[in-house]
Amino acid sequence: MGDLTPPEGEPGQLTHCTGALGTVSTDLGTQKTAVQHGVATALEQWKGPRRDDFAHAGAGLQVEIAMVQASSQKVAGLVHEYGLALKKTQDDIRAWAAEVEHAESRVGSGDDPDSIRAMQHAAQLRTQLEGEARQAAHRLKQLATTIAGEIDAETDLLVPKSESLDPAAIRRRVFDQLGVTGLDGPITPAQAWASLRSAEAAVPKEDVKSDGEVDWKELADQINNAGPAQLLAGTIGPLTGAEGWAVARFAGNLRDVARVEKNVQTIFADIVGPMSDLYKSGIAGMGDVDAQLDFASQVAKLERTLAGNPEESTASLLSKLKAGGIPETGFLGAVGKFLGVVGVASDVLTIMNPAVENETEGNVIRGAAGLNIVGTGMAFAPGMATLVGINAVADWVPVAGQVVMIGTGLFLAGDWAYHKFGWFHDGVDGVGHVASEGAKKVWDGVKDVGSGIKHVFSSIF
Amino acid sequence: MGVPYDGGDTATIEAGGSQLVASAKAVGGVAAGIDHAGSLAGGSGDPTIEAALRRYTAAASAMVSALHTQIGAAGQLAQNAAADLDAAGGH
Repeated sequence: MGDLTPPEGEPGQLTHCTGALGTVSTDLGTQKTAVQHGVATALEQWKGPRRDDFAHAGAGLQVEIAMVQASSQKVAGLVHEYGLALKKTQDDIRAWAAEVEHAESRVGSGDDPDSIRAMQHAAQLRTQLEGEARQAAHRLKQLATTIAGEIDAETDLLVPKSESLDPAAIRRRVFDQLGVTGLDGPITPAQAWASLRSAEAAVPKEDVKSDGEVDWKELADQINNAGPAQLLAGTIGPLTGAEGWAVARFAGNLRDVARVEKNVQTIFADIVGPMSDLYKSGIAGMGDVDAQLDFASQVAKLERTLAGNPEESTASLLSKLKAGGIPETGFLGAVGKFLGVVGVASDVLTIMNPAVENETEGNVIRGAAGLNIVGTGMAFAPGMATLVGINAVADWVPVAGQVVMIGTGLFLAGDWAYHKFGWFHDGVDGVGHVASEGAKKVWDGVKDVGSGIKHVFSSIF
Repeated sequence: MGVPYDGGDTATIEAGGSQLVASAKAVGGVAAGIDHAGSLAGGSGDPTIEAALRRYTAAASAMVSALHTQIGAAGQLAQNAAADLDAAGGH
């Protein structure tokens, strides 16, 4: 069969997998409500000294359930999407194989003109359809990579920095995070309270109603007043459980970011210098740099285009949000992209502690995290490409590696970094001298949005 | 078994605790569904997706197991509070 062999996989199994995850999501939604009612019932006439602690923990439990509920719903959708693509690719390639087989079966053994024509036709058809099959298989592989990345992102929301962990390690980390390690049998009241500390941490105390329900509206107001998330101002409205946990996590991450804000700019100063050195030392290839920078320039260009009429762009976006008209995933998709901001906190923490011993590797990781922040920040900054925020932030996938260091540097090289750090100024100019036309073009574009980037940082931090 | 206190009744605290214990069991049961989904990951035929899906289901299953413990703990605490108030004569 050669290239006309359909890709491996059982779409039927993926259909079952989708169904199982959908059922999980539904069941968890039911239990979130049940827990809410149970907590409210217990609190109804509970006037003891730990009543407030119980209410806080009860609200946190609802948020934790909603986290798994939302992610299982999202992953079910991703598995469904891949299952459909897999089936279509398999069906197409099988049909092409049958077509070629049919054509080849008509080739006779003689050397008369009809037989020769039939043989030529069959050979041409095989070449053509094998090419199409290769392309289809390639597209499927690309989709697999994208979807695997999105599934990993969901896992990362449940268990940060889990991508390199195997399932057993992930399980251990979850148990440690949630404080239930070793709590298999009967537990003491002290152990019970201790196990609920992580639940309490899942939601701010001021956002817990007296009956132990999460005050999603209050959380939403906090988010709407928090700068980058003004994007969703007026559009959040009543939150479903699936949306609510996202808001709660976002609020928590904003606080994490705030805790390290004073260090961030200093740390960036430490990033940019080594980045320039990495480029100049030849670690980053120019072709890869160009590819990355070209993408960066497209975002910058879109930003400038939108800057011409931000109000209209924003109104259009909000209109789409309200109508649930964001392609493929509707309003939940918008909320999912809004989760991109959650990444900011973990990226800041990565910059603080990249968790590697090797200094060069650490700088690379810091650079990747830095780019993620800038990309996310640009996408969500008020007055800066709100439409980019929705349409592009999900596509803003920083690649790990040295290339990112250059991309990061150029994006940081607005008025803020370029004028603030002489050594960075020199480094960027050095890049300019040796860079290709593509890099120069991007640099010209990026420095125009420098003030915007500065605003992004002031908004986020 | 409920005892009135401060204008209330410990029976509602106990009832809330029982509801939470029941929910804990139900949430724990959800882990089986997640594990089942993980067992089907090989159907993708793609090692990248399969690995990602196994990691996700491991995380979600562990979260649900941990929630089972936490919700059960909350139920136990409510029941303890009700029992303590009962033992103290409802005050």
